[in-house]
Amino acid sequence: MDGPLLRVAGVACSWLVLIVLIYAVDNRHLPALWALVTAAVTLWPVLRGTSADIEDSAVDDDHAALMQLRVLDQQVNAFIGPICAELVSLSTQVQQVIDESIQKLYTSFNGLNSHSAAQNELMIGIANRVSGAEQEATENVDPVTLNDFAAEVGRILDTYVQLFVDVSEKSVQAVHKIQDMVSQLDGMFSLINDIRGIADQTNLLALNAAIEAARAGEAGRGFAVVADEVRKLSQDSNKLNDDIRRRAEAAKETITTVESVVSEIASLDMNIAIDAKGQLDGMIKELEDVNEHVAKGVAQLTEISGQITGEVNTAVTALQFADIVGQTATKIQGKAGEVETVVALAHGQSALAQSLPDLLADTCQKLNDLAEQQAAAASGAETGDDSDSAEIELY
Amino acid sequence: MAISTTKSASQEVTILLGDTFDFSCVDEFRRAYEQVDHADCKRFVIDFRNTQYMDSSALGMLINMEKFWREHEASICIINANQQLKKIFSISRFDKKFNIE
Repeated sequence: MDGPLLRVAGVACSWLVLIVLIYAVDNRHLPALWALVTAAVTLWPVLRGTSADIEDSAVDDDHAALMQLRVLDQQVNAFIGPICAELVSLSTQVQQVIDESIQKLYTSFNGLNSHSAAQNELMIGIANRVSGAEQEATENVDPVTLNDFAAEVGRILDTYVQLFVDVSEKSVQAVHKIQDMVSQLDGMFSLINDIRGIADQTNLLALNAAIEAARAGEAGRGFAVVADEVRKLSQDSNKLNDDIRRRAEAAKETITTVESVVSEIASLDMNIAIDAKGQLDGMIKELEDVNEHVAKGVAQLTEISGQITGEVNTAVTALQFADIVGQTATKIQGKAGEVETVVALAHGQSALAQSLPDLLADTCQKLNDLAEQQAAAASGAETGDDSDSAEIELY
Repeated sequence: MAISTTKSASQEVTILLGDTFDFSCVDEFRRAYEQVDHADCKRFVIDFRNTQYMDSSALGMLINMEKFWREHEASICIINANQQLKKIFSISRFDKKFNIE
């Protein structure tokens, strides 16, 4: 095997190491990396052995390769450094954006939860007020419920119906008394007729007495005067009798008018009350339906409100992914640091090494040490991780 | 005569009312129950089978009759009232004062 081929192999090996280093950001890949480097180191003497016949020229080639490797190493270092820095900055940005958004979402969900609870409370209050389930003892004025209202209207209607019945009863009683009075008046008319009969008879008697007095001549003159006076008296009596009859007839007429007035008071069409009662019953039924509907609606609202709370809680729990993202971002930053360390190590080795075999052996040794350190750190971090995950801050 | 009174059984008198039972019947109805012999009546039956309409004065008449016969310890029973009349009796709480069949 000739010098250029060896250089190409060496450079390929170094590249392989670097590429693997760049991608092996996770601790798990370090053993694989270690295996690769070991393979390279083992391969190196073989490559050297096969090229023993051209060892002298190989020393020069070796030095040139080392120089090329250093140049390459610097380029890689200059390339990897900014990438790692950007990786750190990007993961920090991700962390910040997530933190801010999560805070907003958390506030928003909490607001949603408390508004939903307030809405529910309000609806229950309205429903209780409507159905009268809750009496506010703190207020002096009793809250009027629809049921109270309906019951009160019913009571007032009953009172009015009772009033009609009472009025009718008294009116009928009054009519009975009026009729009694009318029969008394009728009795008076018959008495007046009797008095008229007596007066007529008195008149007739006075006439007879006057005739008898005229027949007696001079001796009957005084008696004739008396008979005439008695006749006048009977005529006056009849006149008075007629007056009494007229007054009594007027009284009877007035009483008849009173009776018709009382009849108007007593005769109320009860169908109005029946219609009112029917309408009231209908309204009460409707109010009961409304109450039932409201109660059902509130029950549904309470259920929905509970569902909202449950869903908001689920969302808040889900928001804890922010912690996981934050931890992952921190890990990415750590891994970027590790990449930088490995690259820096490779860079330092290539700058100091005198020959390719030394460089490879030293690099292997350093990588081995680094792998052990990281393995130790990883096991420590793992036990730490457990406590970390347990201590994730819950919003 | 819109109102007729018959002795329907031992110590029972039935008053059969006319088509309407209103204020025009006050006098006639009063005579129908006041003329019955106190000693020979323990139960009145008021038959509404022919009656289509009554007003509030009918209620007044019935209460006056009840007051009149209360002291003679006779019961009053209302029969054959139609749906509308039963509603009136119910609204005016007559079902508490009278025996409505």
